[in-house]
Amino acid sequence: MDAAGDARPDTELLAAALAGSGEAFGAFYRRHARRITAFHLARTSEAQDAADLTAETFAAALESLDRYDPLRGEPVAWLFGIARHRLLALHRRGAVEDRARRRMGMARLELDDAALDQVESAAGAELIRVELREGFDALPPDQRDAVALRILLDHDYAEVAAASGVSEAVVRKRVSRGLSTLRARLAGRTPS
Amino acid sequence: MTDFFADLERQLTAATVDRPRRMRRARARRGAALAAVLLAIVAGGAGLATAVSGDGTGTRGTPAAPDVTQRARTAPAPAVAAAPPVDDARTLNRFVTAVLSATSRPGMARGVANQLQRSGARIGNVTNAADQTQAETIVTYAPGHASDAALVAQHLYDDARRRAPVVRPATTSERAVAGAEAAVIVLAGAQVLRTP
Repeated sequence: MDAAGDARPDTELLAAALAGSGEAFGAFYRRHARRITAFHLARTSEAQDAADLTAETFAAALESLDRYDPLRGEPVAWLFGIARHRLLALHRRGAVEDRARRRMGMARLELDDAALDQVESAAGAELIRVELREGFDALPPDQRDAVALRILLDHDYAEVAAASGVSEAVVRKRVSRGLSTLRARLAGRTPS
Repeated sequence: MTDFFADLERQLTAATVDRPRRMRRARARRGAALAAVLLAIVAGGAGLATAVSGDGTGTRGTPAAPDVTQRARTAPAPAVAAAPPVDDARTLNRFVTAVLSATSRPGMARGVANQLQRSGARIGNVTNAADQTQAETIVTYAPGHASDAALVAQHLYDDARRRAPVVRPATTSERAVAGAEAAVIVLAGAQVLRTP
């Protein structure tokens, strides 16, 4: 599931959704569902709670579409603000709220074991993707370039060396250090 | 096996299509509740005034009190019936909508403008857009008017094709053509979304 089918920016998707386009809100949901689920799973450790919180987050977003103001920030920041409120409500009440879903006419989705595994896998993969992306961005520029050229673009060491103006040995060292940093970052990730 | 992400997407997609109707009903309910409370307060105040002034059927002071309570209890029913539904025409009338012809087909912008005017919109400039090669109708908005644009788009929603026009921020040149008072600008393309 991805949002590749709709390249419109989030602001346009929300505006179209406000006009009644289910397709637009579906695309907005596909684009952010896994990040929101990962956010909740990392803080609740329960796949069913994470699923309920994800559903409640998007239902609340749908309900308050007309309160989103593009001048006050990106839609994704607004969405995560809603997610944080739903999470705080869980901590306050000891149970996931379902008011937004009820007002939007959405039934609670009971998950079987396979679906719970799916939620955990998807959220876990998203966490790893985010960690990798952030870790990659945090690498020193020479290591980042070396890892990108060698690992992501599959150039051989000689080509990377030529492109970077350094020896193959230096490139190998940069790639090695960059990958070590990424591995350490993933290993240090708090299990959820 | 259930697919949580796909199931939730189906729920959300359906809820989005149904959202305008649900929100109208919720607003009507809130309006009715508010009207009921206001009426109860007014009835209570009037009753109290009557009791204090002694103009009512009871004597001054305590004998009038049960009458006040009774009025307050019975007040909500007429208020519910009298509460007006949310009026789209009045809402569309809050801001100015300009319509620019983004196609060389004659009469398209005027047709859309007439359609929106019948729905209660305040129409501003109706003129040609700089680009007149557009197939689809697009709704754009000045800063702070995204939800107004969405409301206009809702009136241009194509029921048959289940498609709303694209909504996006207006460019500087579009705003210059539409005029400074225009909060929402409809760029009428060659394909009409909803038959007037």
